[in-house]
Amino acid sequence: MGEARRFTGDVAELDLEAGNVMQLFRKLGERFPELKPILEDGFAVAIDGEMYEDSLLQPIKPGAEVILIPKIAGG
Amino acid sequence: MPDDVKSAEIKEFKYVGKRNVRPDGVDKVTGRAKYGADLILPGMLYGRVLRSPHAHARIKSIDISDALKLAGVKAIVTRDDFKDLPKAQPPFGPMIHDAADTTRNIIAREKALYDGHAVAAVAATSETIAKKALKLIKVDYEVLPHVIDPVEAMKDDAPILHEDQFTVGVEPKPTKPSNVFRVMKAEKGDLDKGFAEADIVIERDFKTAAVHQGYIEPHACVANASEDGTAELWCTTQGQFNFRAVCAAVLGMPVGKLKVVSSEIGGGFGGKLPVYGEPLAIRLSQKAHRPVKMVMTRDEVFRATGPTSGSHVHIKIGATKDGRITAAEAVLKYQAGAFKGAGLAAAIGCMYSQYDLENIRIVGYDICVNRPKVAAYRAPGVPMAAFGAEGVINEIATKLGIDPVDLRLKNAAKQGSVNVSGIKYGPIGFIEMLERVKAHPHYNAALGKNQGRGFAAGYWMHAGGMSCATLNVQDDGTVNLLEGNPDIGGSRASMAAMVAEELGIPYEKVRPMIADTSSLGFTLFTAGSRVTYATGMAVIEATRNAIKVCCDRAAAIWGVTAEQVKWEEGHAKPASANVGDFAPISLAELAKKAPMMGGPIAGHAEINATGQGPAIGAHLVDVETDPETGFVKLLRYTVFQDVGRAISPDYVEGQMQGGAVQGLGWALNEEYIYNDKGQLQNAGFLDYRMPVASDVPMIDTVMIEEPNPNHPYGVRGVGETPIVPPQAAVINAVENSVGVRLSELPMSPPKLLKAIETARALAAE
Repeated sequence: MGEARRFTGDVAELDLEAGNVMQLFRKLGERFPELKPILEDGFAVAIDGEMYEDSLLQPIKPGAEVILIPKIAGG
Repeated sequence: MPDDVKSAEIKEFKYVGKRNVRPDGVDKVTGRAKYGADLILPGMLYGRVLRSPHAHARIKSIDISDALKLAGVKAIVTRDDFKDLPKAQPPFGPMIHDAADTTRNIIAREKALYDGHAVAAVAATSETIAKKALKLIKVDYEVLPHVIDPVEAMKDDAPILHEDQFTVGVEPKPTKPSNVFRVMKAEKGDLDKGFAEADIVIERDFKTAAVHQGYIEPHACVANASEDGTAELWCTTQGQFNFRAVCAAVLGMPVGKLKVVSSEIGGGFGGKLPVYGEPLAIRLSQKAHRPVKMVMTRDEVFRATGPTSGSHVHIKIGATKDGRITAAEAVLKYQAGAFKGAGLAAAIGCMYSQYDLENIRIVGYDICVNRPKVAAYRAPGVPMAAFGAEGVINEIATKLGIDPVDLRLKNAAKQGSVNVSGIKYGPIGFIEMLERVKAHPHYNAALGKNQGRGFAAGYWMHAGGMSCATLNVQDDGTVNLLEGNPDIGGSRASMAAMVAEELGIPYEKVRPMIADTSSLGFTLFTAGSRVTYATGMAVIEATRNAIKVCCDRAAAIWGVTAEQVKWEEGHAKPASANVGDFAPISLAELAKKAPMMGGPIAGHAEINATGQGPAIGAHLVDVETDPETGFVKLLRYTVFQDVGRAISPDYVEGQMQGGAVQGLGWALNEEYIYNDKGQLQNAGFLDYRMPVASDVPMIDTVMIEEPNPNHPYGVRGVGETPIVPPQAAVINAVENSVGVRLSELPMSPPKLLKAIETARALAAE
């Protein structure tokens, strides 16, 4: 979604190696320093279509598609 | 039942899915239930808040000296009693947590930013004395120009609420402060290509008013601080753990020194997620060394607590002549109230997400205005956007001569569809739902003169998150269940049903209770339609852990291994005939033996629930419009919703009906009315007109159960989706009844009558 792309110079897709969500966020933060402070608090991930929020230890299998999704609150 | 059985696949259960008696029912109908205002403590004082009468004013000074001298006044707090907290700095995530804003909303510092903004608070020996004391507090205001409409607030010459706010999300970075906090965007595919492929393109503007959640119970709390630095807070809240965190931060106290106990709650809908008077009550209690009760009046609730955003919404949708939507665009301008943070991320993520679309672009503006800070209201941010989107989709259906449900079928999301956020759907029941709509008697019933039928669909994505649960088996075989979510929608009944189902014991033997913050691990708020899903998963895991203990105990009694024991219908049994000829042992028998076999039997779980899925609904409404008065009578209403699995059907139906009623009030009557000074004129239920039982017909419900495979019982969150479709459905029905289309809510009789008369005059020319 557009919210993350604001901090990636509009890069929408990239290949990264990461064994879990924490490693993914770390690598994204190194690559895009402006994104780093808001990743953990601001984004959930969909790993091959399944939603994970606040799940830094969630494993990511090789070849998985991971999407950054803004966290939303409810009422 | 065994862990390897996928409960989501089993259709018939003993307690899950049944209409069990609610555990809180007797207390609620007899008046015994204890709500936020019901606690009385020895020596308790009464707190009242002085509120700004100005929509926008600099606070030059506050003099409390005369008020302090009044007999019976024991403490007064102002901005000087609260430390300023750090302001959030960019980059900003999608959800905003700004401690500086929070503390300023609780009590004004430099400026009063809305009529009703708290400026000081008094604790006295009676309400009467506290109110007298408020009148003795002298506040020197420098009144400033104000702005209450988001589009007006965007203009270059608009009064600026925050001189240090520069719009985020635009290039080049602005140098002038703005009321626009930020611009958010989401895109998928190629919008221009999509519009080029369309045979029909419709573009419309819509406007919605801010509306309040309208919970029956006002905000209320009792704070009791001790000289050892600890404090207890009893309050009506949607999240005692979240309240603890915020109050501790605002008060500068360690989280572990504050205990928050949630009372029964008389409605929340998102409006009881923010903290308001609670830190004031705690600070007053600290200063007075006595408990302090604070209960808002209805006037205060309207003036000073968050409604949902008012909005200006621009929609542009293109479709081929056979009804396939090729492009969908939206511009959302939402008022955030006095501080940043309107529900844009949810609106953007949900407004088109029930459809399988290739080309989408949505831009959202988060705009500060001189009104109370908005709070969540059932699917926050989505109903306004959906009102516009579904309105245009209905118009496309009409212009193409396609049945509106058929047009949805042509574009319906299904398993494998990907929405604008990139989420790929698992199994969802939207297509089945639409087919059920077409087959329903309501859809095909005849209509009379000035009667019309309307249809709309809606999408919401419910939450997961942290939940804890502890289950203790008592020595008589009954079960105490401790979980951490205030019960707004019947969650205790659903938890008890799931525990009873897992254990195979009667539902009546399970006693669900809501823990305070000292008794259980952190549990995320009751919101986001998460509780039956997420806390349900914790409760099931806790129960299965207790069952493991039971099996271990039975194994020890029989001299076999735990793997040779199974749990079935409330009893430990040999897993097969080979294990031996042992009589089943009941939970009660194991509980009786527990002291001699290692201690009480319990199970607990601390989880972060994931795997939540979409929650989609569709509404059908028949109305009769009086062309002489503009009055809209609701004749018939049916709510269709994919509920996953209804653990407690009574409650799920109640959620579907309740959300629909709130959406109807939003569509037909509710709005804030301000005078030219930015002061609220209708701060009460007489003039802020919400639907009552006599305004609505019996709302029928059709539950589609397409289980979420990620939950042991297939649950989907249900509470919020039903507020998304009603507005567009009603507008559509009114248009079909009298041929007039409105694009502004509320569609109150004077507005509708004017539109009818205008249309009549045009037709006569």
